Amino acid sequence: MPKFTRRSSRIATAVAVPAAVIAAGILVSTSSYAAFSDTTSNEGNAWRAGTVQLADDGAARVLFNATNAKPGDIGQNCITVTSTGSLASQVRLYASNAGGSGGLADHLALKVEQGVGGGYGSCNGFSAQTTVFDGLLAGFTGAHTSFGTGASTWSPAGGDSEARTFRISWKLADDAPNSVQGATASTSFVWEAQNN
Amino acid sequence: MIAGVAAARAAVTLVLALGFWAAAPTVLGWMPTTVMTASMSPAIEVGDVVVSRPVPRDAVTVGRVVLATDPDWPGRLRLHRVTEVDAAGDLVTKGDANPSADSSPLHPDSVHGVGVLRVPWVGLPIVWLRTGEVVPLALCLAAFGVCLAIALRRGEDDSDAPTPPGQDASSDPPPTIRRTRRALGLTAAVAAVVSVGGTPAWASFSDASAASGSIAAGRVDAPFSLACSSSGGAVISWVYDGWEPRSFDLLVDGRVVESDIAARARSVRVPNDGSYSLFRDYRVTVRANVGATWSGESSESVSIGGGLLGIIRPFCR
Repeated sequence: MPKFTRRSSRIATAVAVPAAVIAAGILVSTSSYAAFSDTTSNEGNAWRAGTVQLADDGAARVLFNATNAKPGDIGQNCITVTSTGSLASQVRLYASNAGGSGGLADHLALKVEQGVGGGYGSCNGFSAQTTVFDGLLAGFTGAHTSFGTGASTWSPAGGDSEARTFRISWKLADDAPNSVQGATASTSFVWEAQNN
Repeated sequence: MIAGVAAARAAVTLVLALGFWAAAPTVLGWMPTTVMTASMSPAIEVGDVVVSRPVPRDAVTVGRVVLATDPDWPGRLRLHRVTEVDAAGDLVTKGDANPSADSSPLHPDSVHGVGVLRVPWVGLPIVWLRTGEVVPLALCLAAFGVCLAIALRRGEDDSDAPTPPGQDASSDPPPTIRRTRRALGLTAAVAAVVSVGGTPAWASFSDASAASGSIAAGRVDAPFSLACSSSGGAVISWVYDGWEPRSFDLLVDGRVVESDIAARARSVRVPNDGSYSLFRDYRVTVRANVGATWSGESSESVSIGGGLLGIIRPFCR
């Protein structure tokens, strides 16, 4: 075995260091080119590092569509939201596309409860665990408009499928004034999961 | 032997050079961040350090990867690609691996910079540190330590080699001190890289589902077909076929003269309260009360008269 001398040490440095510096430069430049020159955002199928996925049994459907409501009228529906992602995440509830006329939302009580049992179309067997929101529809659509301001629901641990059922009930206030006769109110309820 | 040392030196230099690319741009005011999640995969992976460069607003265009304050998470940075500039001038972003765009668009003021450099792998120890993955972190550090030990190996004095002129071997510090100095220098460099490039950027995964609800309030059907019949005074009758009311009210010129009329009633006598004048026409209407303050008043009316402080009972005109 040849002796490892100072000279061979210098040779090793003279070969290895420039090669490594050049390699680093090539790595950084090709990686950067790949990452930042591509101007399209394709839906990746590279789910290596895990996912956040959320589905509900009433997707894009209508929770309630009441017409000709009068003071004291009530309604409710349930919906089951399922997280199937592999990452730990937080699910929050917020309103989007809130609309209406005549200020009806100020006189609609809204209650959103989270629990288990039941599902879209029927709240039979629903058992409430927590109250996500209890107030006026106008308060809900005003306060919870995005994920950042969304109402907390639950935090799936990721890995296994986790489902929660939400019961959404409304009531047109007994003391609603005459000004809201013929008024309307509508909103979308959005459950969004983001990994934390 | 020489090949092994060369390889170890190459490995250590590669790590340091990558660290240099990750950390040095801070001198220019650019921001290195460690990518914590893979929603920009495959363009940007977990453990990459992405260096973002501040740019003027109009340089943030569709297709750019931006580093911005995440409106969804206080104190978190979002590293996603701009897919659209919406009508309000806000930037709609999306993780390449996400099924849909981020629900909250970014205000242009929240953008810190545009991604320009991607340094692979160097952020992995930081990711492992934050996620508590001890095993890969320890393995990685051990491997680096072994490489470092081999790389710092000093050549034995070659008896054939002449001492370079002007260099007295006795003035060099002892080899152990030199080696310690080098090791300390390397450690400081690594620490600098970690502290500078350690800011985490989150490329959040997100998914949403939604369902809609709408409610339209009805209108109270007002009583109609009002009629007045004289039967020992004026008796007002009406027709009503709306919601079951709580009660009806009888109004004379807009003043309630009889309230809490039963929901089933369809006629009522005008009370003789002595307030009518013989020489005037009075307008009588009927109101259906559905809610506490939710009612419908008949648009039609009937006329009555009365007089002499109640001596003449209200009568139909």
